[in-house]
Amino acid sequence: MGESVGQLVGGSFEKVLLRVKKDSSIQLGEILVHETGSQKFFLQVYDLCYGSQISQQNLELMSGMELEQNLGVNLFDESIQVYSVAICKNLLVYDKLEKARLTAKSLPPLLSRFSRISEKDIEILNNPENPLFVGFLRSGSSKVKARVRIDAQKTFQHHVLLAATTGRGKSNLSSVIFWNLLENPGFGMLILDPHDEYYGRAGFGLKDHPGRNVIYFSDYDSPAGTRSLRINIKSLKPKHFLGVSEWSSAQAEAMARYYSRFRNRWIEFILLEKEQQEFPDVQPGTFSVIKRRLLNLLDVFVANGRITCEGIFSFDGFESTVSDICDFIEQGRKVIIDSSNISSQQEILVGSMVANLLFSRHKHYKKKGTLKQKPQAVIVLEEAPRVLGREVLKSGSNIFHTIAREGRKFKIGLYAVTQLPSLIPREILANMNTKILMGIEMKPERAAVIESSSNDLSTDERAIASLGTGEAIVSSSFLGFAVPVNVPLFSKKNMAGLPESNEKSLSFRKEDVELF
Amino acid sequence: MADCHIGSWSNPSMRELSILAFEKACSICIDKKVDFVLICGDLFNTPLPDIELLERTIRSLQKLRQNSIEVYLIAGSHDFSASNKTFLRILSGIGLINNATRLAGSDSEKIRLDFLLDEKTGAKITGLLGKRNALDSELYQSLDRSLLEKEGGFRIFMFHNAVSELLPKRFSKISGMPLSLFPRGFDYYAGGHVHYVDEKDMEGYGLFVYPGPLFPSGFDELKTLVSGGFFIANVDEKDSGGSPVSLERVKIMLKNVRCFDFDCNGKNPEEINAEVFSAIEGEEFFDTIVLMSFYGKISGSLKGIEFSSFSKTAEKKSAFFVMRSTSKLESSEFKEMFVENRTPEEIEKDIIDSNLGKLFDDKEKERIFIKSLISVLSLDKSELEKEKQFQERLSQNLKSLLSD
Repeated sequence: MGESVGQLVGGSFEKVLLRVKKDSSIQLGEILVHETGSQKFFLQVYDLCYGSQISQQNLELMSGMELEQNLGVNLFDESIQVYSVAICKNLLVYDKLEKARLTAKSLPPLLSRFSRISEKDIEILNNPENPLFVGFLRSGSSKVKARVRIDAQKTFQHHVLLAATTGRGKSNLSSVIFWNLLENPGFGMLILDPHDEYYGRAGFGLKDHPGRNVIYFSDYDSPAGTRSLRINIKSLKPKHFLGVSEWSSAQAEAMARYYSRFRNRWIEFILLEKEQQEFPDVQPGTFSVIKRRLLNLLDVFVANGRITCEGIFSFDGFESTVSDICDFIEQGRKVIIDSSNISSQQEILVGSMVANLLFSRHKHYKKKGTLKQKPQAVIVLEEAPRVLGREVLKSGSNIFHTIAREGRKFKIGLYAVTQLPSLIPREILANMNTKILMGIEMKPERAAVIESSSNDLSTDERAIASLGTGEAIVSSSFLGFAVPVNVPLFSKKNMAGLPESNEKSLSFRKEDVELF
Repeated sequence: MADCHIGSWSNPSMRELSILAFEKACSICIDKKVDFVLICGDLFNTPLPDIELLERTIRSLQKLRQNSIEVYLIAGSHDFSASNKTFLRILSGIGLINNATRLAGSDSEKIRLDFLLDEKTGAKITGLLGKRNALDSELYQSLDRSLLEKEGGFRIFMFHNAVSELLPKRFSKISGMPLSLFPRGFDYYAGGHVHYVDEKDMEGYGLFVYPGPLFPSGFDELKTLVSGGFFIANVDEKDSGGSPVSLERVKIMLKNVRCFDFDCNGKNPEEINAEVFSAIEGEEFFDTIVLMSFYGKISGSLKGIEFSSFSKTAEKKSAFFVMRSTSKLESSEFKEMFVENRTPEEIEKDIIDSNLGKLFDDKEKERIFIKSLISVLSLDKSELEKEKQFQERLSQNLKSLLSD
């Protein structure tokens, strides 16, 4: 046990009162530990108040004497007479004999002494089978040396929500998590990156990971060794457009019928207004709207009966881009799609194409009985309400919604990032069993997350609001309690394990290159 | 042209077609008075081909030389031998071919390529060899692209690998090289390795051309391509804004190809036999390669299907060569079992990928090492080699790999 910082002096199960030792400066959110027999009790401070042996009336009298008459008042045995009281909640109990975390159902003995949580304490609590580092344990504002690891397999199978106001370090935390996942071949990832911040085109990034396991797709000045983000229009199916744009049932049906009749040339035929007479029951206006939206979505234009492509979609080549991406994910590689140069709708469309193919492949593997051998797939969605928002889902389900509901059975998980979790329906939030909360300023947003959290966060609202940059609370059904963490800065210095060989160039013999 | 694969096919009649295709292609080049010939890898099917095939190849190359047609060549995945032994060295040594892969300096960490100047046209030609199992990606990673991009004039880049952005869907299992590894702004990118015909102007790069094989080298290729061929590129020196190159496709049609597809689903052997005989009996196959493709789940035993009689019947009708494909044919007699419908290369790749990280920290390095090891161990004994010589060659290659 470390140095005592407080002693249990009363309260109830929900509200345990600890007298705080002088100068121990306990902070909100701190985790305190008491060991008795084979059991270790863990409490967390959620409020602080004053305590004194002097009555309130006398304290006010003393204050008046100082303020009005400038009389110096010195207390006899000040450290005993006045102090702070920490109001704590029971987090859990660890039983050393059973080596198990137990839900707290009893109170620690009165007058038991509590000390700050240590590295050893977190080790016994947090020893997952498939560990993924998320940050260092934070007790109040101070960083404890202990690394907090979550079980990657369980976590990503049951989806992750990362919620925070802008500027609180979402990207930094995601980079740290992705970096650590890069080492793990048991995970394939699709990262849709609208800010082009993960690869590290201009500085340190995931590309610098020694495993060289990142595949980067970009439509703009692709660095050597990376892929061009170009997709053949023939790979598009009507279902890929669900959630990308709002379609009336008449429009969705017309698209489906065109696809069913003309298969991979359906878009070409709609754009060129070919064979519309085959569908006399479809209003010409419906075709016009579909055509206009497709032109806009795909960055193409039609002139003199010819279609010209200007964006990432093309009629020529790039037939295997989407299946290549799925292949990489199935190989446990991490695919980053730089979508900074394309529209938000195009980004969702690309994500939808990959997610659809991945989902149907995983369903197929499950039927064949080979899904267990496949890596867990993770799809990273920034600004998740774009596809998982209540308003979007009103006009119909989309593949991301399907994955949020059923992905767990098919080894596909979502890593959804948002500033506005309240826009995501409650049943989807509840399906996301791990929530990482960074500072959230708006009350309705905090409420949405707290209400759907796996751990009881009812007393943490103030703590969530006051989280500083790089501070987070990890709430997960796979952790005994919501763990406060401090996320290290994503930098070359902090990301350990960069081998020197990564920076060395290979050397070539002339005879090996020329051959003859 | 690319992928001549002289000496491919185990059947002597078909093997003869592989050299005939090359001889015919050279004759056409002479007739059409081309300025020079580019061969983008895999001239031969093995690094040490049969002496007779070599002799005939030399004769064709000599004819090109006599007509002042230079040949620029890069080594392909089939030309490459871990011991660096290849007859291409001899052909280059006697001046019949020019190796387009020329390093500007000696051993170095960066690959700096030199251009070969074609004196007749002023075209500047360079390229990188292709290696088995995409081992050439390491070379491309270290290629000094900026040096090549700075060069002025009409530039040609020769390569022998699959470009992932160009791969058609049916080749999606082939691992391709990203376009971004190529130097930008060349006028013509002459490619080989992937056996399909394609030409595409790639934004920021230039015209990429795959001429396909000079002669198909398997059942599926015969079925889809029917014939081999190459491109003759005409260069318009006037600046018209677009690509200055226009392409003329030249087909090498040595034999007719006739393909029969038999849907055997739910049929018994007798019905299949009757259907096949009725289909081929009314036909004449003068000098034609006959392909028979069987698919579906039959009722009864495969033994009852008279495959050899089909071949004999077709041969009696003057078929040049009869091939059949039964890989998609199943028999209901056998209990259904799970067989991975993947190529050995795909299975091999998955096994390697799932075990990476056990030998070296650097997974890419480990991947390259494993692929190199497979490449060394899959060397074939040449007909000219004695057992002992082959063993020595194998052992030397292994030592060389392990010492690197």
